[in-house]
Amino acid sequence: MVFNSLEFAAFFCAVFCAYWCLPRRAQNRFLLVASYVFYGAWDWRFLGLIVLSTGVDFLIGRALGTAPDAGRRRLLVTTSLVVNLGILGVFKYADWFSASFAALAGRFGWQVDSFTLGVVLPVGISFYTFQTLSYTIDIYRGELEPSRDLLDFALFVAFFPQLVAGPIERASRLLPQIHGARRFDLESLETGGWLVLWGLVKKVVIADNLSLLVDAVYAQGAEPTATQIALATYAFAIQIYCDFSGYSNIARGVAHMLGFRLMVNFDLPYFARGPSDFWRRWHISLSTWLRDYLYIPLGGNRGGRIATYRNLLLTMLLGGIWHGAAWAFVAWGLLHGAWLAIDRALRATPRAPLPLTRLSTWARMAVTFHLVCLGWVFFRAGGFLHGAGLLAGLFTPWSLADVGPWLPSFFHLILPLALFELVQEATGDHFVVFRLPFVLRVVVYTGLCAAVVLLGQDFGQPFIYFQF
Amino acid sequence: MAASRSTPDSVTRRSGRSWRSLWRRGPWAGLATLLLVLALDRVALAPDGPLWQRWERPARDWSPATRGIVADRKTLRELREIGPAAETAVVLGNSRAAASLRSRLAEQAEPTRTYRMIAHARIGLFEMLSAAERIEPLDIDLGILALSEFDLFRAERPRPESGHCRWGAMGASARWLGPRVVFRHRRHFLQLAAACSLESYSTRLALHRAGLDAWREFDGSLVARTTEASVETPPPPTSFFPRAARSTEQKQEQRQEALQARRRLFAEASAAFPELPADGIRFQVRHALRLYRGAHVAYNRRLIERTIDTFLEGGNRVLLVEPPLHSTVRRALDPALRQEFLRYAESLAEQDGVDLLRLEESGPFDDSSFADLTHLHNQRGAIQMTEAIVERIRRMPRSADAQPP
Repeated sequence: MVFNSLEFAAFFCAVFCAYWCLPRRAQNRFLLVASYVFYGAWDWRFLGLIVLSTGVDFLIGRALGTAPDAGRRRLLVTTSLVVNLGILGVFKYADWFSASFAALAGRFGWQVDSFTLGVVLPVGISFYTFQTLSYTIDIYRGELEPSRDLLDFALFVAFFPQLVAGPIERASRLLPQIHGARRFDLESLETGGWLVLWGLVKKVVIADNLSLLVDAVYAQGAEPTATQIALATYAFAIQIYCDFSGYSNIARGVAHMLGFRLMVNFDLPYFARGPSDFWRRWHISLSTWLRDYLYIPLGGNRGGRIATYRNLLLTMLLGGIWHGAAWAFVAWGLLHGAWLAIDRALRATPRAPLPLTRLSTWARMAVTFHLVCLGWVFFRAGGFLHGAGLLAGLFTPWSLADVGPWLPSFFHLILPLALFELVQEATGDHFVVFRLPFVLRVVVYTGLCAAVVLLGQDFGQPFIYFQF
Repeated sequence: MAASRSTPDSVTRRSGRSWRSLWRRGPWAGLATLLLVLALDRVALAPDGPLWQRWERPARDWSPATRGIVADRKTLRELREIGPAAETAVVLGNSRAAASLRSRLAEQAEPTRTYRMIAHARIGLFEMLSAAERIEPLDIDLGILALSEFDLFRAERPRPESGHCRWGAMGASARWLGPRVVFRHRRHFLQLAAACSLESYSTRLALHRAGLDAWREFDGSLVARTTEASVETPPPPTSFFPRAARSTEQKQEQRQEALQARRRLFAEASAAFPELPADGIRFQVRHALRLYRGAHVAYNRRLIERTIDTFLEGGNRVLLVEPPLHSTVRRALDPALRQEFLRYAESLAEQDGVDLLRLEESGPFDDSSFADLTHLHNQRGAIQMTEAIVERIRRMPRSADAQPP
């Protein structure tokens, strides 16, 4: 049941109506059941994993709250790490590690049979595992009180708007909202509705249509020219942004209508002025998670230059591997780690500051965007060699004629988005649409509804980040 | 700016407005949008709505999958304009009927009657029932249903984006299929419900082609290279009913047999029609060999019977026409399926007001009448079929005589 399906629309309408008719405690229980139904619609067998993760972390959290000494607390948090990362390792990485080990052994002339489990990756496992991990780590650090109610905690783990692809919420933000009372609010209805509508436009109109071009060029066995690779890479940059931020918008909108406030996951990332700025704007819930639970514990920037660069590389490497079990993601993570390190090195070098003209700001945005696009080549290619082959293909002769028929569609799709985001960036207001007069707002909403129905690809196309 | 942006809590509006009154706070713009969208859909996108008529012209020429949407809506508009004054016959059927019946020729042979077609490739029984529900209030005189074993034994789900989807047909289908099947295919039924509710949804494929392509589609040359269809790979089944459980060996065996049959028919058809493109023959071969017995047959029967009842309840007569087939396909098909279909068609024709025209045996057709494996799409075959149908209509009792007591 994906957000861009009629099935979800029917499900949410039913949940919304029933939810607001119930008293608060019953609301939480009802949302928990709805969340399990939502997840079970994919594959009910994997509900067991969520229940296991919920049960283990709830018990460990409770035990951490009463554990008297540091040794026992360390043992408890280690148990939580082992269980959660163990589940993630078995379901996500076991086959990759095994195949990679067998391939490596083969290089040295040893014949090793690769052992594969052949299990399907449970949807959303990377997201909810990180969410539950943050809970136990926060309690271990003394930054959070353990939850006393198992069912409320279960709702924190399984809350359906953000269960399958985030945002990866922190317990310190979401649990108080679950414990507290929620009020039906007409303003939230419009705010949530706008977020859902804009998310749908990004997903079904922009991302899904651009995927036609991207899939054709990036298909194994296709022989695209340099210009086609370049255009498809730009298209993928927009596609993945619209796909994931569209999902996040819908998640926030749906949660908003239910009285919850989820964190902003994307903040106009292609207007970033550098790699660090990019990661402050892209998948914010993951980047802040990696910062708080990996980069800072590794030492952050407190151990000198070399240690900082190492920490950046390691953090981004693990961020890459979090996305998927493939060497292409390793390459993608390392590239971003390297850019962050170079960016930091450049900023640390004493030199005359560049004048902050509008031109230099745009130049920095353009450079950052192209560096990010370079990473997307590996990300989309799925295999390191395929990605490297496509990059090599960029150094063959360029001809605009190769992409001539595609350009009108490409610009038709991205120009409205670019213009709207430019206004958002210039005003610093994500909800700039609410500044419009009533009639103009109705016109904008109607236009977007028509775009979803008439220009959208088939409803129900999966989101890219579901595979992670 | 970055510092204020990175605050994860920045979900509230930053417009600086105060939302004091209910008028200001309520989702009224959203509500107004909803009403406006529904009104535009009902008024502007109805078959005679201004927006639809503007889009109709550029939407006309496209593949068989969507050509029907535009043509059928035009036919419905014409039927409404013709009104009850003239005797009107409407042909419902797939591409075999569309290619074989010449309405102008029929009107020349019988000047008192107007002929209109809701017939095109890929129309299914559900779409025919939905179309009948739309036609029935328009005071026509005669419904001509082109049916064959292809319709009775093929297991296909209705297409939500066919331009034909009516709540009556959907409700009846849901009742016949039962809650379990409806739940299993809930995604499909929700799409059908959307198609019943919104003109823009049920006609969106045709609208895409009406000048909106530039917004959403890319040149398919690269895609075509990577997704080549062949006789070896039949499209996945899209039936409401799963095939009967079989063991792995049985499945393998049946798959091999089916593949052999497809290859054999493809070779024979290629020899019989050397001038036709291979892709077209492949499509017809796959289409022709997808007939089998199963739970879907009972559902198909109910759809056919309901369509006939819809016409009869409106005081119309019904002529069932069984279009002929090329001998190459006929040899490849299971003769028992045809016998079963004929017995069923004859049982339908026993009702008052229903007549059956079996063209394959009684008609003047031979292999030279065919343009390809299934279509009488050349001068000779189409003229022969039109004449045969007109002749039978002349001999049918008039509407008043056909009314049940």
